[in-house]
Amino acid sequence: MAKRHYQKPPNGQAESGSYLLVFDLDDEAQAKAWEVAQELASQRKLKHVLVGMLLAVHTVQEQTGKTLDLLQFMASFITGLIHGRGGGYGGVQITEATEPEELPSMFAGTDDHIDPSDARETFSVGMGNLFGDEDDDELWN
Amino acid sequence: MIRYKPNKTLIPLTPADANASDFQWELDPTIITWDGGNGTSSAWHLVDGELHYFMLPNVRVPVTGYSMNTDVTTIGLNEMVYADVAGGRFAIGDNVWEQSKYPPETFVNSEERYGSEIHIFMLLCLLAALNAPENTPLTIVTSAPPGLVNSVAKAIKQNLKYGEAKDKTGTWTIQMSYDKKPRSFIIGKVVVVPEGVGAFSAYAYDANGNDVLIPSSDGRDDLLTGQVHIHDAGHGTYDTYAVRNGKLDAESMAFATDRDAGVLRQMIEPVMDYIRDQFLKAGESTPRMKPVQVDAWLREWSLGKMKPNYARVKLNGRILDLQAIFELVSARFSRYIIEEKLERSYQQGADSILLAGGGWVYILPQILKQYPNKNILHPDVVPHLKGIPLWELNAYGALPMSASNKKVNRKVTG
Repeated sequence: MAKRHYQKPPNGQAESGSYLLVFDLDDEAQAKAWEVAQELASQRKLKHVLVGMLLAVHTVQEQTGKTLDLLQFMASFITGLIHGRGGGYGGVQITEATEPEELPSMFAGTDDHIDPSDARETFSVGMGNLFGDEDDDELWN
Repeated sequence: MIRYKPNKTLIPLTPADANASDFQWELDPTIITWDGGNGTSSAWHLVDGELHYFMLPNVRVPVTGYSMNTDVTTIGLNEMVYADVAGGRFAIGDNVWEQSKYPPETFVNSEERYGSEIHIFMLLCLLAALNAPENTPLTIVTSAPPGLVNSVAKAIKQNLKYGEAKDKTGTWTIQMSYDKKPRSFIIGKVVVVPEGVGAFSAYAYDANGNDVLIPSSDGRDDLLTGQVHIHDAGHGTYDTYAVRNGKLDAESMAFATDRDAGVLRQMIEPVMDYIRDQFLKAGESTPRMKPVQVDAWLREWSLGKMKPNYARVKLNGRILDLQAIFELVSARFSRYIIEEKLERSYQQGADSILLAGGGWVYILPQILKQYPNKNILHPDVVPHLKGIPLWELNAYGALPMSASNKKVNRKVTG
């Protein structure tokens, strides 16, 4: 069998179906990624996860017809994992097709705020003197 | 032999005045805070700076006659706790409904339950479990749903202060199954506040009544100023009202209590309907169930982090896997609360939503997902409430409330 001739492709692009990943362990983010990669590799899941992630990029690009900004994609992905859904607007995924009625309430509170200690004193004073002398006659009548 | 002992925990935050030369605790062990709810009844007090508390499901089973074994079919004397009071002998605690031929008594979701004999019975059991001081006047600080508090406060005070002999001495006796002699408690003073006030106080003050500020995530504001909407998701009722810059909004109090939005109507009853339906479909007779029983299953499930292992129960000789129906009713409850309660609060201008009540443990993750950018207060995001469960906020919070009220009034009169 003829030996395949390996030639390093330009700009790091892979041509042979393989790609060598080198993690810079002095870089905090890459060091953390390396730890996860090792864990996944020990479970024989590293390739599966990497392929899944790249497939997700392909699917989104194919369905939206747009080239993804991968930094934005990763940010949305992480936000989605942490908050359950993308975008930080709870159940609403905002797209060009979203109707204004579907948006969450725009009201975000009031601007009438007093001093925090005054609010607490007002609350406590408002209850009256709970432990003062009580007129029992009133209770039995 | 089972013997009740108070649960003990350190206060979550050292009081702000702890290093003052004239420091003293505002509250002594004779001040007992009590949340006599439809689902559970719990009481707290402060003993030398340590929190003591105890909780019981709101249920009892009458047990008559001299020997327990003749009345209780499947258990012996050592495996359950019972209490002797003037009204008779009653078994208490989780699972008593499974172990007796007598029907359990709960008396829930009724205005007349407040200050009733069973309501007071649960308090006496808690006082015994807490080892509360005997033969000295106790102050009971308790709460009632905001929509009912005006009409039931007097009945609660009167009936507690009448005492067992109706002689207005406030003296009550109870003997627990593990006691050698009766305990005698004297109810000297009763304070009744709307439910939710204790919860607000839990967030607002430390255990000795000092202010605790809760900055927002950007650090510029305090989450208890402006318009704070209290959402108390209890067993029997869901109570919502507003506090504006520390002032209770009387208008919102009038319509605060919703009997259709508590855990009973939203979760327990649908689960019971589902179980009955499944038995019927299987060609079997419908099992006898009590809401307190399903409530206990749900509490067990929530304590087990809602994992399937904790959703398996025994009923009528069958093992039921209730994970799916528990998840379904939780999801529906969550949707209902968002649409009918939380959205309204935000439309009315709420700056913060303050959560209290056991209902939230089933739906909090969904709520936080729905509102990732809103100010929603719950114990996990407030360091000075670390370790205080959502369902205990009213009972625990009445302690800081009492301490703050004492401090403030001393300042006013001094």
